[in-house]
Amino acid sequence: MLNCKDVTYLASDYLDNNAHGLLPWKIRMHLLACSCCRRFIRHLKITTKVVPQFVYQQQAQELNAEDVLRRIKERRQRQEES
Amino acid sequence: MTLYPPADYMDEQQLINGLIAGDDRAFCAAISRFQHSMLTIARAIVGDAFADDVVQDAWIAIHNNIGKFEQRSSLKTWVMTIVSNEAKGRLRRESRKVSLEELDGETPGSYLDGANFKSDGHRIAATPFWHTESPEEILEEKQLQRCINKTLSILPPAQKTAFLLRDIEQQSFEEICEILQVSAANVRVLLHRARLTLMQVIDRFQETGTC
Repeated sequence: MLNCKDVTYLASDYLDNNAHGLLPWKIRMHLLACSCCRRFIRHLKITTKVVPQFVYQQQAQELNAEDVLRRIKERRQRQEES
Repeated sequence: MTLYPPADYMDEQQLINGLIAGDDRAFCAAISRFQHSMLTIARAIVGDAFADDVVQDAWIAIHNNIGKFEQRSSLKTWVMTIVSNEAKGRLRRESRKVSLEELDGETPGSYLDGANFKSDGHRIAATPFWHTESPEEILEEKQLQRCINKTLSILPPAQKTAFLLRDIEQQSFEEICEILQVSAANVRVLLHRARLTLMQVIDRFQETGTC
């Protein structure tokens, strides 16, 4: 029987389907009995959904494609001249 | 003249044709689509200091070679292969290795800290409740976004890279192993630690409203 410490270590493997053999079943058995670990796994799953969205929002605000293109052209020109 | 947004280049074949024709709008569309992924891969291989240069050189290589692109893979795969090769070429000149010290030990205060568990492995304290578990509501918190960005900026480099490649760029574990030159087991440890650190930020924010 797995304990909370085991499940805390295995949480990402469980969510990523990287736990194999009997392990997913053992984790599910623990989760049936442990509301704290159910909440922990749920929060980790939310984290893996929410943080990428924050990053995508930030990236969309930061990127200026025309400015990037201008710098690429300048670099290409320097390379051609040298 | 405004080149962006390049609405005509949503379709991949149109984008490829535009790149072959040397259309700046197509390049802006490709930059919008791939620049962040390219930077993530370049940073993973050569680090922050050289990543910008590597990505610019990759764009020049894309410009010079797009006519030879045979479309046996997606454009994204071809672009990522080019940036990866540029970065590896740079790496050969600038020796850099992932520090595996990040895999050692447990950070005090983290969820993995042994002090959180009794001798039988069960939790000493209950997992905290969150005020909201709705991703939509969590995403509305601008202050939390700043906290997440700040935390990402100070994550140990290999953890940050594993997280960005897997959870942001959706790269396979095999591809991440290849880029970081570490085992799949080590990638999983790095990724888990990064996620737990970020989850702790949400935990703290839900409890205190601050980072």
